Amino acid sequence: MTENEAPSRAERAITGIENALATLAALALGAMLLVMVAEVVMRYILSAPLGWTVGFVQDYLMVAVFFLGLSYSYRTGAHVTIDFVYRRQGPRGRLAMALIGDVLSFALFALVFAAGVATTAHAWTLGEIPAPGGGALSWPVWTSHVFVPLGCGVLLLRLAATIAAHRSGPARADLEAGT
Amino acid sequence: MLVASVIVLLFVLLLIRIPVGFAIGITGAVGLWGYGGLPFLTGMLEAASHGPVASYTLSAIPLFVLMAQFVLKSGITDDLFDAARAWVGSVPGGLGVATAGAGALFAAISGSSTAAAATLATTSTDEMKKAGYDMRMASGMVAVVGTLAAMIPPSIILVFYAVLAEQSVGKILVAGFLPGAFVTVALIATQMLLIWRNPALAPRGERHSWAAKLRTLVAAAPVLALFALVTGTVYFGLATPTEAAALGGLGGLLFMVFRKRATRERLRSAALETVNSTVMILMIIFGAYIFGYFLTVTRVTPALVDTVAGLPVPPMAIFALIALMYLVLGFFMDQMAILALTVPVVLPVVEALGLDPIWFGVMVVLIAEIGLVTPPLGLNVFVVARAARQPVEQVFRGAAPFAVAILVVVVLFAAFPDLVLWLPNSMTGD
Amino acid sequence: TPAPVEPGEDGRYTIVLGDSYPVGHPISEHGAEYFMERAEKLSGGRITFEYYPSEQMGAADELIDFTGAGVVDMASVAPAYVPAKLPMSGVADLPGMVSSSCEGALATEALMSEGGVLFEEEFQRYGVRPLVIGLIPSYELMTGSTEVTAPDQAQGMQLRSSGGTIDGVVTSLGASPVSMPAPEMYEAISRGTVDGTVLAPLSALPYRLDEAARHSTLGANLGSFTNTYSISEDVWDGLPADLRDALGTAGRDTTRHLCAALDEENTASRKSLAEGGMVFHRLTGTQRERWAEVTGPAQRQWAEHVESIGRPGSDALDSMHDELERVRDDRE
Ligand code: NA
Ligand code: NA
Repeated sequence: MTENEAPSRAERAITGIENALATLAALALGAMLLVMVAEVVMRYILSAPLGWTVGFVQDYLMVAVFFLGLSYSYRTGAHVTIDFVYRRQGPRGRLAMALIGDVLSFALFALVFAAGVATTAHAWTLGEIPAPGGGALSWPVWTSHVFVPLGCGVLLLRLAATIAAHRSGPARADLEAGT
Repeated sequence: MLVASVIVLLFVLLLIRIPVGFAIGITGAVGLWGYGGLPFLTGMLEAASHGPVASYTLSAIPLFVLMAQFVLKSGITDDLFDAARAWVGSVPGGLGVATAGAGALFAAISGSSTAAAATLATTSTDEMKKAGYDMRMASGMVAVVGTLAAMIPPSIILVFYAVLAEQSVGKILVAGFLPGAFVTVALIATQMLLIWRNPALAPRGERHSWAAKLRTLVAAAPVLALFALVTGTVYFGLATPTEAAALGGLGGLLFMVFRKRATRERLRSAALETVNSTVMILMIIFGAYIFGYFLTVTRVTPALVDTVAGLPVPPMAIFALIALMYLVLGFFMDQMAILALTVPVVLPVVEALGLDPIWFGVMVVLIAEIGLVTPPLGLNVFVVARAARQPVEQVFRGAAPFAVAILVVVVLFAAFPDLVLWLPNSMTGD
Repeated sequence: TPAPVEPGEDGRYTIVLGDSYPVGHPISEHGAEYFMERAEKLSGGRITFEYYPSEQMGAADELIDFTGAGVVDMASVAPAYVPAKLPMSGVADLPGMVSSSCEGALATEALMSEGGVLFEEEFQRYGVRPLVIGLIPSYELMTGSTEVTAPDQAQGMQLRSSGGTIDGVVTSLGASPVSMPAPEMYEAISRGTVDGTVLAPLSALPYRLDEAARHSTLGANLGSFTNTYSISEDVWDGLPADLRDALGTAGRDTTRHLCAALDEENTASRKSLAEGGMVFHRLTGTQRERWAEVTGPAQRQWAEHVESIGRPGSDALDSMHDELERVRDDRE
């Protein structure tokens, strides 16, 4: 295996993980729709509201859509950028800008990742769980927090791969700008 | 000064093409680090955890975007815009007028202006492009029209203000109606003015016969029915505004099914595009949370308010300065955070000046909404730019005349506060 | 680990205090502000505060973490907002438990002090120490259009609930708890999306529920809301002993001042709501008994549910009853 092939193979693996997580995020979105429609139907027609929808949507589905879709959205260029300075740069300038952005983003999400690991571990070790009997789901709290390190972890891999690719040549930045 | 250098850093990061949400988050983190050191920053990130996005209220954003995607992929928007063209197409900018009207209608169901902007942008900008509109103007208007959602009830932000300011929720919601109507008219007038000055901005459609008009109406009926259904479920108490978003999504899905467009591929693409839009918006909210936290701990806002309140000038001049402050805060912060940060400090000042708190709430929300379409941090503009595939700076420029129009409405209401107040004051009670 | 508060050059300690209540809310005015004034005075000016109200420093359910992480030094911590972290500390919130704010706050204060079951089992695990306790008492059933004076009239209703113990109350009435964000409550009741809610008059007033709900019980005693102002243990341990004493005394003074104020404000809020058109139906002795029969089992059931997640719920419940008895005896 040569050095040039290694990143591309790793990248393909990352892409695979991203796609899988994005599919889960899409399913969470569908679940959000269904659960809320079900709540209306149960409440209005059957007078038996589910009662756990708010907590479920907020602590699980919203969190899943965001964190599971995070790296996928980054790769597919979903995040809005302000381009007019970038467009006036040559390849070297573009490369430099992309590199700074990726490194700073890596730093931010490394901190968020670490924070996510800490809160998940904290909730796990303290055995945090709402008591049953309320309307809310009595699920361990860490199952909601774990989406943070999961989503940020994959984004960190993606950013690392992108930074590594930048270093191997400026063509990359232009390729990205086009997508 | 820390705050000033952090704001400069934000501009630099945005200009070197770091994605907006990332740039705001990085800047806020740098600021918190500078303010309280690394343990302070990491402690804050741990305590906040996924809190900024783990919000039930925010779920209206993905649900309305999903509805828009379904409606779009069902192909039914073509019919809707055919109808709009047939009915108002012969008026220059008619389609834009129709979009503003649809925006006002949509505002009636959506409690969140960003959700409204995302929905309108997804469904209408392509049509306006096809029809030959100037995209800068069209996308700018769509970004601004979204802000109507905050004025026309239900409005999450107005209720939030009412509770912070200890005002009647009912009154403040009613107080939003008329300003909402004024803003709608102002936006339409601005567009017509722009087109009158430069007719190339919008195509002039053809006149259609009444038979043709009615035919298009039949074709467009399902979408209008969906709007009516979603609005109706809220007004008749079947569903909360957030749940209405889900019902709208279901309606959109049914369109795809009935029109035999609900292929696996289309559903998948609708869902993934919604995930992308949602993550983009939530990332900005996530970043703005970190940045807002930094602004809060530095206490610049209360200091600013105290300075302004102490100036020896007439009440309306102080209000103008406060309004200016809101406009500037709107450049950087999320609206809810702005209200939580400022209302407790500003309201006593405002009341001491003899200004009405209900009136002030409407004005503040209106001004904070302008912040959603002004650079550098204009959430609605980012949303529309993404959906319409337009450069951000173009949409900012396109939105500018409309933002000015809202500002004119603000000045009008400042001159004639009764325009805002007569409706709530005519309510029964006190 | 977060750094303890360091004294400034002038030897003063500055404590960052955050809470989730809007300025002017009775808990803010008679709790946080009274406490700060008291502590500054008792410490001879050696303790000063930076106060951030209205969730500026974190959401109601996150402030306990912000305090534990050392981002703020002291904050409002309410068990109802963090049921997974403090499942037992809301024991005073149970229906039929306390008859006034003062009684409830004093009993809770004992359980949340060192050696008390709630401090040892819960607050300590999160590195925070309650100094001020405040209870909003007397939750009532407020309904949009149907008059309710007997519990069976609430059967089958859909009631907006803030979750936790209130969910249990609603369920014990044979009604269904509906969760929705507080800002949506007003419109949901006025449009009939839900039939009503279970809330204290004091908490209903900021949302002007008198404009949305026509009827309310008076004397159903369906629950309370416990709030604390808790200081980070790291900050506490880093303070000189005399300043800890000053803070402790200021806290106890505030608890007593606050409970009287909350009882008064709750009554005043009820009057404002009544002036706004909400009709309060005062329950007779026999009517009250019927409510107590329905909500009584809710207390034991709560203890069982808490036991099921491995926490000493029965212990907490029994201690609470003992403390309440002690407080009632003391006050006679
Ligand atoms: Na609205
Ligand atoms: Na802005």
